[in-house]
Amino acid sequence: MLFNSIDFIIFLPLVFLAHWYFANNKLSAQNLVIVVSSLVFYGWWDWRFLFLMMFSALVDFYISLGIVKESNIKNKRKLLILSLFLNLGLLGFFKYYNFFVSSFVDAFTVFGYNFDPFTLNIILPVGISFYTFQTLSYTIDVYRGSLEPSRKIIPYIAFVSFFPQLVAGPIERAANLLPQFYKPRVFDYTRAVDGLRQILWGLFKKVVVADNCAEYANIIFNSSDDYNGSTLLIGVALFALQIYGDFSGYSDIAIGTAKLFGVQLMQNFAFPYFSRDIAEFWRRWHISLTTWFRDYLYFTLGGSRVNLKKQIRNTFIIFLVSGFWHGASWNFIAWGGINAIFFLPLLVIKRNRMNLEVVAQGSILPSLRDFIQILMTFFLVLLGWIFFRSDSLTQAAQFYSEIFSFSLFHKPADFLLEPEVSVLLLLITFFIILEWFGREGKYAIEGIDIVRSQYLRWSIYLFLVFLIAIFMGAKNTFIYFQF
Amino acid sequence: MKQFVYKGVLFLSIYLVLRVVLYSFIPYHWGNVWYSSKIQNLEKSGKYPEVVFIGSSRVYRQIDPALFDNLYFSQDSTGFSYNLGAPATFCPQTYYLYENFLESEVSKNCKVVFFELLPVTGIEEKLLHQERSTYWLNASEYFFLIKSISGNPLKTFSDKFYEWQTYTSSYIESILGLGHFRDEVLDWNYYSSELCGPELNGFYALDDELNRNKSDALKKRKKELNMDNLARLKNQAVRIHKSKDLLTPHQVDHTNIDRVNQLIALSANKGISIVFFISPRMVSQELLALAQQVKGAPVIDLSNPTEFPEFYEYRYLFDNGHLNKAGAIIYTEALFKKYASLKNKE
Repeated sequence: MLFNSIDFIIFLPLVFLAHWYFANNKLSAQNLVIVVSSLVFYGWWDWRFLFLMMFSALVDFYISLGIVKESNIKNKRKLLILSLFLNLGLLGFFKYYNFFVSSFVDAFTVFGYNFDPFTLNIILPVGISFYTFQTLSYTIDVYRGSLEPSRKIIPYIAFVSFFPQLVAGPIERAANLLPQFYKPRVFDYTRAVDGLRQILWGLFKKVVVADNCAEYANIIFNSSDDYNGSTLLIGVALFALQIYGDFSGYSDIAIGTAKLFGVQLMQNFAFPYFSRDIAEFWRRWHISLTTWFRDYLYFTLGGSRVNLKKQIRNTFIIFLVSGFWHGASWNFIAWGGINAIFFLPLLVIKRNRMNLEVVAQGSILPSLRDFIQILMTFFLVLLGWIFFRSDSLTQAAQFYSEIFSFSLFHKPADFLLEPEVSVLLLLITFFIILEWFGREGKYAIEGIDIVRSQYLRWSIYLFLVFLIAIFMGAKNTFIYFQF
Repeated sequence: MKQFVYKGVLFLSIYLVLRVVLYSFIPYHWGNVWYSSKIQNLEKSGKYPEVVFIGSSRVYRQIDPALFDNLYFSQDSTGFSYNLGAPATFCPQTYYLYENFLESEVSKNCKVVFFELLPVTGIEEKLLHQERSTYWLNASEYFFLIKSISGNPLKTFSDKFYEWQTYTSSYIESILGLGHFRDEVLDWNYYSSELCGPELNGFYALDDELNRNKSDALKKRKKELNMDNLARLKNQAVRIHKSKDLLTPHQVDHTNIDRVNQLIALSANKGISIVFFISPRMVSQELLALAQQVKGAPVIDLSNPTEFPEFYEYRYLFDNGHLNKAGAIIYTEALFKKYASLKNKE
């Protein structure tokens, strides 16, 4: 079920009441409520998906216990490889089988051999990329000795299937999430209110910002041949807002929902579009995934301890794999590749660890230098998003050729000059202002408690609620559900 | 914890109160653009009909008021009829619209209402989450539905469960205004004269709409006209009619019957004669059982293929569910003839 659906609006209060009232601070009952509700939540999409998720979870549960019992290093490694093989094998089959077959056939076509590809009508289980990585991190941490495996199945299943983050992250680490299912959760009023506030902000980002930007971004991308450089650039910018509003909105709803149950999830987005360089952007965008790749792939390849040539190689691998994780398409690989190209100069001149603090910290406005850096970084990010959103590499190339031509200075398409677009522009401005002033928190309106008057705070909340209700139209699925 | 729940409920209550205040300013028909356009059309003209037809698209596309007027009114009469039918307007939305119609200025000249009789059914999947499925769903209609569905002896448990679920989620959507708030605020007085038909009498044959708009959706529907399917529906209708004498009063939705009786009483209070009718290809055992239990108002049955085989002939059909313009002519004539014979018997 979608977070912005009536089904979830009915589901959440019921689970909340069951967790806090009926479970009555008993750990086993609380965890059981979490597990049952998570299975219902996930099974709502398609009950068949449950078997796959449970298989993945149970494989890693028992393999991890096996790893700890084994004293022989080689056998431990074999068990780990088995876990990797099974989990990545399932992910590879469901997500990448048709891609590999089609690419294989296309490659042979170049040499003049034609044959019918044996592609399958495979449904991609929702959230498979997320929960697979989550259970893999569990097994790897156990193998590395940095985590004790869970001996109890219910808390472990609660960790794997926890419904707020199951289908689109954040990809949680067992060291952070699993211990929270080992002790009874006590209701905390301040945290629960903060959770509701974060859900509200997440819904605003998704329903008001992302879905409205999507309407125009889709028009432009679906008929990109008809538009000039300026329109195409606006389309990419709208897509940038769409994907940020959509994905970070989902994360906010997930984190906020978890807070309602006394569970703390990791921050997944840290105002990435205010980054001053591409390295900072990648420290602030989809943090749970980038840190996963850093900890389990980059460091395994040697990380930054190797020579520069290998660091460059490792960086490329990470970005390409990250692109490939997003989807079975050359577009995503190209997206990863171009981000690697943007990143590498910073790595080579050793400036990839600058800008670690929040931009213009403590100031109301950025400096001119910061502002220019933000715009330049945003432009580079847009160039990457072109590949991410385009239907094909050909379309992406068309975007590039128009944007880097004189048509960039032509008047945008007429439909972008209609009155409805000015409403969208107003909303985007309002959104950016709130994001900017909230950038030192975990989410934009986290610090709203500085407004002392409860009446004023509630008026702000009501205003956001009415905006969400007004703009909540046909449900657009969260983009990252397809991954 | 209690403070959290209390404040949450308080916040929600404030939101709902603001919604109720907003709702009080918008007309009852705001979510049904066809019906709404027709009512606005009448209000703009300042002339109100003596006869109205209320129902689904099987009224909207199949009953021609201009033809009916020639048959019903004398040449020097200034009276006229009006087609208030609208697509996907089923029971109990029709009840809701009619009850509000009776309270409005537009009904002041009304003498006769032809009302399409239908059983209570669930919301079709393609209509879920659309404002026309929820705008009319207030507390009273919701509780009517739950009672009707629960007490219907002809529905299976899984049918009941599906209908409870869809109506409950639609009701919550309606209360919270989810997905429809924008239209409530911005489009509550949407008006399109095209929806009132070429003669602005509420009748819009599908052929006319196709000729005007060249819509791909309508072309597809016309192409999908399936005579095998219609033959099956015809045979089914014949069987249902043949077995109608076997129906008992226990096999009826009494909640719906009570509501129908209320409509009859409300109409009588306003001096209006209400005449129920059953459209072709809509008949079911449940509908016939319902029709048998209607007392105090006549029920015209146009669904019997033995009596009206022409309503299943290819030359009179536009698509699987509706008659074309030629079919609408014979349909309107049939409705009038049946009504006239009832009046003669009186």
